[in-house]
Amino acid sequence: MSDVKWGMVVDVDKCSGCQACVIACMAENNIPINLDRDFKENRSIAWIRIERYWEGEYPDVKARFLPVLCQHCGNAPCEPVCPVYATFHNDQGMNIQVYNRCVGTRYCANNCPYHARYFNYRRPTWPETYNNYLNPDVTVRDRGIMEKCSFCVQRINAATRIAKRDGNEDAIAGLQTACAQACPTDALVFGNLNNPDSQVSQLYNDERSYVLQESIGTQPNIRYLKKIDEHAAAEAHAH
Amino acid sequence: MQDRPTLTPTQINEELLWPVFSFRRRHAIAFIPPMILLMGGVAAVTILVYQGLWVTGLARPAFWGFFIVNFVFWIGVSHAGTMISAILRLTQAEWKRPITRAAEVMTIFSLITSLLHPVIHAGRPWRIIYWLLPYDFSRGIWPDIRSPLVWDPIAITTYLTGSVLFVFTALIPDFALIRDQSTGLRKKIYGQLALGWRGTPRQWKLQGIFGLLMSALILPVFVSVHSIVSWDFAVSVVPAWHVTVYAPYFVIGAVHSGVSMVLTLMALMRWIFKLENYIWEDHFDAVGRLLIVIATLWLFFFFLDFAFSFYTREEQELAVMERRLFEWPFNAITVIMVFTSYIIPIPLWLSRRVRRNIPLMFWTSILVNIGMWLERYFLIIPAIERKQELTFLWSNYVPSLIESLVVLASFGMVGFLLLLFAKFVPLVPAWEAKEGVVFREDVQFGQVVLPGIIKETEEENVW
Amino acid sequence: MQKTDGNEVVIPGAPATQEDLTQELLHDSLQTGSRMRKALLISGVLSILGFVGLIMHFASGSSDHTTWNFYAVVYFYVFSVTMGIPMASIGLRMARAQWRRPTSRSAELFAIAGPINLIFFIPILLVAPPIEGRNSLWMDWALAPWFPDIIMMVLLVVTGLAFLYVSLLPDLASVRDHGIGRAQRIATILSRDWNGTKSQWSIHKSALGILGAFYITAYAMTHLVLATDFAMTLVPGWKDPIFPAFHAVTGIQMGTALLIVTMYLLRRLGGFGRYFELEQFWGYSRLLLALSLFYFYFWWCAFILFWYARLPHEQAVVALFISGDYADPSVFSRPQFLMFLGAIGFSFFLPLLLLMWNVLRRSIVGPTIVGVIILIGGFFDRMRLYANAWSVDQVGGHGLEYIPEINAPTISDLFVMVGMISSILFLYLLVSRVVGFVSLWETRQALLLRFVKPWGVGHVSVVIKPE
Repeated sequence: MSDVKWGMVVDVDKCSGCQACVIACMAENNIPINLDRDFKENRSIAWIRIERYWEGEYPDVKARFLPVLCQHCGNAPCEPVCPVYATFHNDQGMNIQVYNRCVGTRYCANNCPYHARYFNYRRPTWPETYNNYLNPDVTVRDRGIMEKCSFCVQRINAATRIAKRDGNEDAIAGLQTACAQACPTDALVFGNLNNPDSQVSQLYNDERSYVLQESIGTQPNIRYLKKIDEHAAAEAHAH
Repeated sequence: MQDRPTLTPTQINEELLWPVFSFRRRHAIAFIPPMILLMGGVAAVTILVYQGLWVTGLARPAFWGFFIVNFVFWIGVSHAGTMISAILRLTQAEWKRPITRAAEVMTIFSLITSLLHPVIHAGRPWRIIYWLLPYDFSRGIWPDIRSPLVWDPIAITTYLTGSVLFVFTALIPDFALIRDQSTGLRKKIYGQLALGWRGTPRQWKLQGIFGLLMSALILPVFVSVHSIVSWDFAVSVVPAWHVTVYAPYFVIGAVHSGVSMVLTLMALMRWIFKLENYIWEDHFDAVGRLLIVIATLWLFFFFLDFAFSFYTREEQELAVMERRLFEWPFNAITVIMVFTSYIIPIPLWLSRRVRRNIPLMFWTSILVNIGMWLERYFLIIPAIERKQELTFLWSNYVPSLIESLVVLASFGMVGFLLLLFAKFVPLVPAWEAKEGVVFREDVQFGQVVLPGIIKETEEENVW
Repeated sequence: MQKTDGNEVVIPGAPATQEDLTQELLHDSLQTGSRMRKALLISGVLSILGFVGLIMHFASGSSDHTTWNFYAVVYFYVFSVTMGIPMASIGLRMARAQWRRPTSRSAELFAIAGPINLIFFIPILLVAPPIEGRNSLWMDWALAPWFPDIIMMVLLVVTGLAFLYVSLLPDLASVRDHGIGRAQRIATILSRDWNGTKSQWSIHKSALGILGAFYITAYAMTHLVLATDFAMTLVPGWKDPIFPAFHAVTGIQMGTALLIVTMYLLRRLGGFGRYFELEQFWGYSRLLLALSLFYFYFWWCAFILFWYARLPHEQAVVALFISGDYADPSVFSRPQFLMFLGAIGFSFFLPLLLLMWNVLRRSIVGPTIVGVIILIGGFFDRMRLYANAWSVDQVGGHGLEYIPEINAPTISDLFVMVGMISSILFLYLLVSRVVGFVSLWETRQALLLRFVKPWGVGHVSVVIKPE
């Protein structure tokens, strides 16, 4: 299995900002329901979030959307600063958060250039009727620890088990994270970067692809595809 | 000179040891304010641990707040003890004598106080305590030595151990003094603490050598502690934290606030314990002069940090500087900080008359510490509020009541511990006071008398 | 002779009385012997080499700053050393260390190197690239960096000379009153109306204090702007606010080292053994130890950040100044790494190892050896910084994109180095013909403020520190 390197490509051009990925992630990963209060206090938790930027002056404005999740950096700033090894790197290119080991110093969150790490200020609660909806494969995080996108590690583990049982790689080939699965425009593509035939590895090397905040040198396993802006392209031609 | 009384050993014993043998009203009343602050803090910490960190004002992206600022502040204050004792001991500055112990003890207590902050600041304090111990319980995992949060406890506990040893050896002659003056249980306890001190030449020599050795050994620790605290911020990739000058800048800032705190303490000691015969205006004068140099060095490093924020003209750093300079409340904080920590006190201290005016020195030293507290806030908070390019998540940190209570309580805790300590040991070392009397030599020059100091010498030919 | 408690004051050992002192410092040491004549002649002739080197440089026609890299190395080395020496003396004066008194003159005389530094600074200004497209402290100011930097240099040089003059004044008057020959004639002109009245002394004292404080400020600020404009700015992606402080501190370190070597030479060749005693060497060697620790500390503060955060543009800076190109498999074939080894080895590790040893620290030969080592290490350090930084021809960008080749030094660089050093030596010796290497008034005051008296079976020394 070590020949696998999980990665993702985010096509900014395709993203419509619908937030389906956010909801899918919450359902999959037992993220507590963000209340009004949480947003006002800036304590909401969303492993993937859609950042919305306005471009231009009113009335000629455009909304730009940028889905941001943990970039699963190859050279992650969050890792060396953790005193208890609660976050580390595995051999499949993923950045792993170990909830049990976390003591909540929040240093990793400070050092994450993508703001991709979230802290549980409160003990998570759900309305009683929701209790049976929680995903049994995912730990519910108690207060006082960090959490972040895990690339749906529970799905990866399950697929690996099935692949081992069946003796073929079909389960792994069809693997999707919750966000990629839910994306109606296929803006999020997840897969094995080491497989040259996979859609993700082809998009990964697309000429439009770029790395978020490349100057920090984090070498992430997630790349973005540039917005195709006809207006800007026309302008560039004119010059 | 005007007030340098000549004291007899008996008089020194009486004037320095009264808090140990009696409990006078002024000492008791002094306990009240720190006790109130401390109780507020205990209540706040109880709520904090029981409820979780939502009772603080911490939020994304400012994951660190008042607790860390206060932690840095108290680590800073703890630098005064070694600064005063070790450096002045190595340079044989005579005027250090009456203030060494108070400064060293303040080091210990402020270190203990500051150590509490990262613990209560963690999400799961009950785990951080034993998971950061460098001992591999059954988990098979050691703490990650690459993390500055592991360097911190190592440096601080080293410093704490060193300081305790430093203070304890300097205490031995005074323990023996109290032992000889008391009876019963007290005599027994102090007798144990005095470790069989008889005041033989050999014992004095060993004690002196240990003091010098400890001074030399503790200096690198002293520099490393605050450097490491600064690296908590500086080794990160947060643009306005990732500044190479942070380590010496933090160290000199620490000395600035610590020595000012010693001034405050000197004035309070003089007032509460009536130490007019020991802590003279000369001492305020000398500390004031030292502070001018320290503060100017601090200003230089502040200037380096400040000027180079604009050096690359990268938007991330400019955003932090904009927050620091133009946005409420940091515009006010910046102005207050620069004024209270440099522009007001230093020109005043240039005047000899001000340096010898004890109430004025007391208030200016408090001003400096207000400024230096704000300086830490100024350095630490805006940088994470405006972290990196993803502006969508920028937000402002507003501290909560609980955090403020803990900050106030930290002052109460140090005060309380110092007063408690004064109940058991004199805050001015009696043996140093006596040695100072012996080593004084006033020399007549024509019509003026100049104070001279006797130094032991081995060579015959001395300049 | 003062008295205390009825005990006769004992001053055992040499420069016993004020009369002896005057005789030695005013007459004997101002005699120009044949050796001194020779030294003056040789250094005077060699001074010309510096200008020859400069002309050769300009004649080569290259205005590309990368070919001037070793000129920058030589210049900043000599500048750092000579302007750092007065700092050691001024700092100790402020700390009221009495033992430094006999050595102050030989330290402060180095302020005479100021004009030489100023002359050789002009080519640096001429060939240094403009700040357009580069990071800079000057916010695209049209006159920067030339105008502010030359102002800072002039300020530093003038302050140094003014400080030197004020500290010379009482001695010039003594030469005027008791000296002979040409020295007396010069001193008569320079000493003006100094008579040593009470008010003159009090003005003198505060003037020294103010000029000293001013020199320290000018020194720090000059190093700040020079290190930034002529090193940091040239390398894209190098933002290192501690570097100016590092630059200034290493200047003082090298200055102290040269002072110790000077003291040793004066002791051996000039016969000033009485004034440069063990205590002086010991005092300066402690200072040297502290400054060497500072060298490491300031270097480390920058290195740990660059190394830990692993930002690509900072790793390039580490490669440029410390490790050399990572692609080169052999560590020892990288010139950058060899320069770095020389710098940190000779400026920090060797001095630390040697000075940690009590026997060596508290001796006369020990600090001298360490002084020589540090002067070598300092050269390596300036080479590491300037030869590399001046080789970069990339303008702008977020970070350094490749590690440049270093242009080798030429014979003209050697000429400039010899010339600068000789001309400074020439001026130093020339001025010493009027005022000597040891300050009369400082030494006199030292005798007044410090004496040895019997105590029990032995002796103790009494130190007086007036306000």
